[in-house]
Order: sequence, then structure tokens, then C-alpha cells
Amino acid sequence: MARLDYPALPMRRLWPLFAALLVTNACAAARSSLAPLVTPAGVRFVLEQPDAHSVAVAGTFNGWSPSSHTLRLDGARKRWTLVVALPPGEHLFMYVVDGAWLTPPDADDYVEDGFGARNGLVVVPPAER
Amino acid sequence: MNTCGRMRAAWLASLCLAAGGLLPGAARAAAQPPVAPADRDAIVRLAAERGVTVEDAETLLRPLDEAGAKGLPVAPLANKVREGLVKGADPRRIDTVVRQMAGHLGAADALLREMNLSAPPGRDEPVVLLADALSGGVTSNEVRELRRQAQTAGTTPLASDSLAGAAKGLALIKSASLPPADATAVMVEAVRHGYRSHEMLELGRQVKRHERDYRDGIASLRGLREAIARGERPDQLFAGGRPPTVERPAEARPDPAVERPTRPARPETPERPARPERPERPQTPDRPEAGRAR
Repeated sequence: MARLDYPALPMRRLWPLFAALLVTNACAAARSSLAPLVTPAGVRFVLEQPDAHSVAVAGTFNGWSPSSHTLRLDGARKRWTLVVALPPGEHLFMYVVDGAWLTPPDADDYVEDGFGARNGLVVVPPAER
Repeated sequence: MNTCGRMRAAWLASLCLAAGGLLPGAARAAAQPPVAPADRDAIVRLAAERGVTVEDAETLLRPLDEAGAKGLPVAPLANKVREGLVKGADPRRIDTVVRQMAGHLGAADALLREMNLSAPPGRDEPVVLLADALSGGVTSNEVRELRRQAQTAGTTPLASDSLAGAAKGLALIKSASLPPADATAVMVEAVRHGYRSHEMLELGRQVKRHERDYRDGIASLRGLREAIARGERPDQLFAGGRPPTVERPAEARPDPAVERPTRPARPETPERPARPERPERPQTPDRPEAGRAR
């Protein structure tokens, strides 16, 4: 009977593939965490714009002020973040990156603003009694 | 008191009564002050910063004053004007958008009054939410139908909050291009089971998020309605990130009590012949060290 000789698995050569898979998954996880997160301290806004000089969040909660809520750069993770205490309800928002309006890359929902752009929406649920 | 004095007192009393009759309407209108002077100044200042003329700024403020005079919420309109100005939109475009919004607020207010569901004074949420639903594509007739069905199905009277929440939920489901009649049935079931306004919004939003599943038939609005009817709470409906699927009717399901016919025994598989032993691999010669030093 003919015997098939399989080559021994070159595990050392497969490690770049495993690493690539790991990085892809990590990137997907990072992308999904870009949505505003409701925390006990408030809503945590996050934006990945490592090359930006200034990032602010403007929305229905601050009269669309493009300068009152500026995000801080988390140098290690190259992300801009800010926690804003918001009352329960729906809040429309956009980011202002170096003076330019940017639709959030991730949000609970999106709504046309009537001026040719889309606002992101974050929902703050009412506190359970 | 002489006759003349009595007559004057009676006239004054009737005047007071007449004024009292007009009070509820007056109070409603007075509950919504026109744009506060500080807000007005802020908008005019912002407009000037953006190169908008004083006349154009006054034009932008007009629908706000008109809405305030009708007793409609003014804050969302003022916010829209500010949004348009800071985003650098054309004042005529801002005016159009704000007038549309004011129109929806007026229609929502009229609809709630028609149904005797006016929001308590000082509470704008139901009007704002219902106006949002109307701007999201729900028609006044659909809101009336929603109310009619919810009223028939429910035991407690429908509150303005619930109706507005259900209407907004309906708008969200409609935006996923799903049949309005089925969407209405889902919302009526939610109202009947005491879902709160924000829970109905979340329900609509979840359906919108799973739009493809509903369109492809993986999930159905009938299944969702059945799940609500079974008493599932909003946080259970989409647990694990998946929409509820259609429950098969009991008659279509196999009865677990009925014994299944026993499977015929599998024929015995013939024994495999034992593998021949691998021959010993020849020793690989040691790799030269120079090849590794990188």
C-alpha cells in the first residue's frame, strides 16, 4: 500500500498568520469600542484621530458649541476621550476635529441633520429606581 | 353697598369669570415663553460671527417667536438654529429646516390635543418625541390608529408619553422598510405590556439594527410581537444580540410525549486493519549556526 508522507507542520512559519488574526480581532474590538459608552460617571466619548491637534464634541447637550467640550488625547492609546455627564434621553452629536465637523464613526444611531451631514445619537437610559 | 355698587361688583365678578374661562389656554401659551433675551442675544451674536446679517438673524428667530406664541416647545428650535449657524449652513436652509421642525411640533401638539392627551404644563417631551416620529415618516393617521388599537387592547388609559414613545418606535421600524401594520401591532403589544417610552424607542432601534434579519425572514415582527405577548421584557428580547425568531404554533411542533419510532440498529462497521508502523525517520543533520544568526 502506498504511504502518504505528510510534511511536519512548520509551526514556526505559521506564527505570522496567528499574529495577523490576533491583530485583526483586536482592531475589530477597538472599532466597536468607538461608540459613546454610558458609564456611571457620564457618557464616554472616544475618537481615534492620532494626527489631530484638537478634538471637541458638540451636540444638543451643549448648544452645538464646538469648543466647550474638548477631548483629551490619551497618548498611549492615541485616542481622544472625554466623559460628559448627560441627563437621560437622546442626544445628537458630532465631533469637531481641527475645526472640521466629523460624523462619529460609531454611535447608537444616526440622524440626518438637514444641512447635508449626519449626526450621531447617544441614548442615556433613565436610572433604574 | 348701594345698587350701583352691587351692579359694578357683579360686572367685575362676571369679568373675572370670563377671564377665568380663558385661563387654561392663556396659561398654556404663557408656559412657553418666546426665546429668552439671553438666548436671542447669543443667536444674534453667533450669526454675526458667521457673517449673517442682522436681518437674516431676525428672520431665523421669527419661527421661534411664532412657536412660542402658540405654546410650542422653543428650545429644540433654538438648538437647531445654533446647530445650523455653527455648521456654517446657509441661513435660508436653516430657516427651512427650522420651519419644518416647527410644523412637526405644531402637528404633534394638535394631535395630542385632539386625543385629549396634552402633556402636563412644563413637559415638552411627548410633543417633541411625537414631532420626531412625524418627521421620521409616521403619519397622523398611523398615530391615530396606534392609539385606537392600544386603547382597545389596554386596560389603563394611554398616556401621552406612551403614545409618543410608541409612535417614535414605529417610525424607527418604518425606517427599516418593514410593513407599518406589523410594526403597529408590535408597538401596541408593547404598550399593552406596560413598556415605558424609552423602552419602546429601544425596541424600534433594535429592529432597525437587525433590519437585514427582518428583511431576509430570519426574524419577523410577528415573532417579536409574540415574544412581547409572552411577557418578555425589552432587555430579554434581543439578548445575545439576536432578535427573537418566530415560534412555531403548537400543532406544528412534534409532541414530545409521542414515542419516536426506534431507529434501526446500525450495521457493525468492519474492523479496520491495523496501521503499519511508521519507519524511523533518519536523523537530520545539524543545521549550520550561521544560518540562524539574524
